Amino acid sequence: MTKSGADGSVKRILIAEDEPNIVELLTFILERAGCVTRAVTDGEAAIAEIRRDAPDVLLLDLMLPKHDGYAVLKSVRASADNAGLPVVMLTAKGQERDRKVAESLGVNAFITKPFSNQDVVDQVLALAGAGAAGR
Amino acid sequence: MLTADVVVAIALGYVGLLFLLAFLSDRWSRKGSRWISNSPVIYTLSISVYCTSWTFYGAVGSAARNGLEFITIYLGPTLVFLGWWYLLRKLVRIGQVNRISSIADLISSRYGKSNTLAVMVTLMAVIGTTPYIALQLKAVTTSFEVVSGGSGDLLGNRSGDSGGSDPALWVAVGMALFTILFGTRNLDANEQHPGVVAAIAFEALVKLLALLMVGLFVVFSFGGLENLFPEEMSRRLLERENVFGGRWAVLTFLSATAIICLPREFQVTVVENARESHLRTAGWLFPAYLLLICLFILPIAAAGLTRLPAGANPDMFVLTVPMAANQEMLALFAFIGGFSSATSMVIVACIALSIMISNHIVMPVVLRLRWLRLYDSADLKTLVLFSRRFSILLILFLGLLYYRLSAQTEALASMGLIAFAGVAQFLPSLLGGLYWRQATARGAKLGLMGGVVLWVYTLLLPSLAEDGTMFGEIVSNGLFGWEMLRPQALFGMTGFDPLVHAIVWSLTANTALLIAGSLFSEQAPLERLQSALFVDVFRNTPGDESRALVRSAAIDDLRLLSRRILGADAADRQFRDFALRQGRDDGVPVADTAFITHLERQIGGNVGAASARVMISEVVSGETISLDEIIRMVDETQQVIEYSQALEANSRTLEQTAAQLRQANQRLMRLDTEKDDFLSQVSHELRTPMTSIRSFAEALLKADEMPPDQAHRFMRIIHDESLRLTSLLDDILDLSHLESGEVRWQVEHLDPETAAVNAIAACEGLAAETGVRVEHVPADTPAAIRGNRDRLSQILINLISNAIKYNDSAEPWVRVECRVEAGRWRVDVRDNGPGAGDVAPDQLFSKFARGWRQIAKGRSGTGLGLAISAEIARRHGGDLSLTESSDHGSCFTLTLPIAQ
Amino acid sequence: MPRQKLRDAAFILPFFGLILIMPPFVDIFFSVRLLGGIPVILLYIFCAWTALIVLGWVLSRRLVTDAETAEPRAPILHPMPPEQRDADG
Repeated sequence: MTKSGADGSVKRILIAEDEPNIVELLTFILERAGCVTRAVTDGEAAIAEIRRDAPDVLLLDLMLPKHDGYAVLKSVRASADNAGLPVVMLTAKGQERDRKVAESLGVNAFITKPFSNQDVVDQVLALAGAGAAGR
Repeated sequence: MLTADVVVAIALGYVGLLFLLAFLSDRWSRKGSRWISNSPVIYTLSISVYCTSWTFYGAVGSAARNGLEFITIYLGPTLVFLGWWYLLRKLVRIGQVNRISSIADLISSRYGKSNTLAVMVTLMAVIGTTPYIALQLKAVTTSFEVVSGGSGDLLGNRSGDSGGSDPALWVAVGMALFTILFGTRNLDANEQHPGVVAAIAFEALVKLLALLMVGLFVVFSFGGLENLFPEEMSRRLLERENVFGGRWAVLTFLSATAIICLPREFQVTVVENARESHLRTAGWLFPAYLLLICLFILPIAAAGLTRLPAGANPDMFVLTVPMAANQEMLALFAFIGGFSSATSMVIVACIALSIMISNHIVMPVVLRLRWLRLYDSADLKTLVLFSRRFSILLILFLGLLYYRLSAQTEALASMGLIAFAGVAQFLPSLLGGLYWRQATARGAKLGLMGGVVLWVYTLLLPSLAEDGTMFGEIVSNGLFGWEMLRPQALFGMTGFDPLVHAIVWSLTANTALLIAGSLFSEQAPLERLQSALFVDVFRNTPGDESRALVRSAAIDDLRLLSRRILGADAADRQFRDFALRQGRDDGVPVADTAFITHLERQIGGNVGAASARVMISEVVSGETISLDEIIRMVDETQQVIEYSQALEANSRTLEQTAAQLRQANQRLMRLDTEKDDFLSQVSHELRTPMTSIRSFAEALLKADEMPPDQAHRFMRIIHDESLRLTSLLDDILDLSHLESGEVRWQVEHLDPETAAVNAIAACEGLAAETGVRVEHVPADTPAAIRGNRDRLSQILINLISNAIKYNDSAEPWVRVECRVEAGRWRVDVRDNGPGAGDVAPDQLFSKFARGWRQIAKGRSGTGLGLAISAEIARRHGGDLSLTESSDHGSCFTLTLPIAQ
Repeated sequence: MPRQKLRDAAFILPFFGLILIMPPFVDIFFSVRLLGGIPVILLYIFCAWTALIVLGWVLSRRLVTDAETAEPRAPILHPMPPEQRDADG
């Protein structure tokens, strides 16, 4: 059963992650939270997919083949239409340095693996709502 | 008004004044008043004995005839004195340390106290000085006649036979008497004559003053400088062809040489020097004196050329210009100035030469003639004084002779230059002796001889030659009629100024012979010692010599000798002082080397180093020159040089070591960074399975209702990831052990074929699961390798399982080919999978290589497999590499060395 | 000015003087034109001469000879004589 977000619309999430298990997990928890999810497994596909059909929130892994998370983020922020797209970065690299770089590139949330499922869901939903308000 | 008698009277009066001054100064000095020897100004003024009547009269003459050329005579000494720190200071220091009494003494002493050299130098000095003295005689005579309005007229020319006595003779006699009275009244151990020095200094002031006054008069009487040098006059005076050419340079060089090599200059600069620090003043004050002397030369010349009739003798302008303006007093004063300059030269030159003659010619002869039986000091002293007085007479006689023989029309300046060129022959031996340790006596003798011969032939001879005489013949046609041997155009060097020509030939030959002679001869031990003492005079401590010489003597013999030479009182005083210094209270010193050396120096002050050495050696027994000591002394300098070189080398190696340390540090830092990277990579790799485990577990816990197969699936994932995690940890540990080399393997002889078969069997399950066909192609020849069984299997299993796992083609196969090739056992694991893509080969074998992830079928590797395999292969002495990679498949190759 | 530099200056001074008075340098000033009644070349020579004397005076005030101050003979560079070395070794 899909729950609606605060403003009533269903949140559409794009997951960019190359580990199949993690994709499965994220899909599971987000859909249980009432979102609709799609997944891509490399950076190039991510950029293309966003251009084609922008989601409400992008859930972005750092270590992606073809273009890594930073490159995707930069591209999104530089794009004309989707500069304001809320991005949640997920990564196993959790050092301060990485967080700072990501923030300087304009990421909205930065989550390190392993993560708490609830935490991911909350952040995504919050950004989705805020994003909707901001758009 | 000025008659001959008046002039003579005034001249004699002046001489009397000088004598009084000298007498008083001597008296004061003996009483202990040191104001003369302490005054650097008096020292400097005494050096200006360089400016003789050549300067006083001849400079103006030269200016009028040849323009600016005269200045070179004063620029040379200026340069030498400006550089006093290096050359003059060394000369003075050597002179003091070795108690040098003359330039002959210096040269002979340096080259092993060689008496031959001393004699050569003395003779050359006498010959070289003769023209100079002649020139003074000529100047005095001529100037006397001019100023007394005698047989000369305003033209200043001597009119042939003056009928009656030749003034020159009287002048010569007068100067001889004067010098004898002045310079040979007593013997000083240091050969210093403070009275003479004081008188000379006074004369220096007189002549400067006289010249300046005439100069000022000229400027005022013309109403300013502009009127002196109208365009036409200055062009006439100054514009010459090639003013600053070869002759300019040669003359500057000659005058620079002369200021050191002229016997009289050596005497006042080195021998009479009481304090080295006086050089500091002389270094700038003497050039200043020269500058002042030169200041009005050209104005006076210009005045003479303007005011006096053509044909007037320019040498006498200093007198004739005032006289033409009826300034008789001024002319008289100028005459006194000129007279002053001439007499000072003669006095000092004769003193210097007489010292040389008596020390180096007379004394050695006398000592050899034992039958003369000179027993006490009075006898010896008398002999020395007598020989000196005789020398003075002889020198003046020679001067007079030269004056008579020389061409009467010769300018003063050219006679002086001949003398300069003569004493310049000392320069190579002198400089060589001071700065080149290898210069030997033989070289010096050869050089001196060669130079002198050429000087006589190219310069002296032509000056005495007159057309028609034998000499004249030689000059025009060459020796024996050989044109190549013409004195003024040797070997075809025509068209050169005779002076330049002579200098070039004589000095070149001199230097060349010195160098060649030194290179081809050995130094006697004493020579070596002396050369070290001289060249390194600034580095040695006093007493170095006595360390090198070991001597002993009977104290009584020494006392006898000393009393003979120094006089009873002086000798006894020396003995007492030395006894005190040695700490003996009976007043009798021990005749050790130091004392003997000291005595030798004292005696040498009286009779010259060469003679002193002879005398001492008669008394001394068992003299050994410690060659080792000499060598040590000479080597010390060498050692110092080597030491500092070693220090330099050391600091260079230190630098290298520091560089190496820096490199090692950088390597360590890199390794550290690598380790950090590895650790962060590892933690990153570990987090991925951890994420799955945690999150799926969380999901399972949170889910209220979950379909059982989904829950089962999740649990399975958790399980698999845990396994993955575990194997990852195992691999990391494994790799770490491998890299650190801690683990010792069981190494045995293996059949690699069997290992391959076993590995394939181990992967059977995986192959069946994924539907991949595995083939095995064994090697033709059997082989054995040495290695660890399990590890080898590990590699093969890793390769084969990789090939299976990452193969996503429609009909996947893996082929394991083995063969023996070039002494190695080789196995190729081929597959028809997608290839490595664009991952670089070396990246592939590094830890956690990417590139294979995305195509892993269900189970991704730890990422360390290849890295571990590569390391194992390396440890076995083998190699693991990717040999083929394309879209159609890849091939991994393992090679291992065959065991013998 | 450090001692060594002074000595170097003292060494160079006569050569500097030599250059000033030798061709080709001196040829530059060779002119019999008058400057204040004095031919230029004369002016040059005497001025250069004076300048050299002044430089010499300045230098000589600073240069101190060994005889005046007991200048130590580079003591630290002196290697030990052999006998002593053996004793220590």
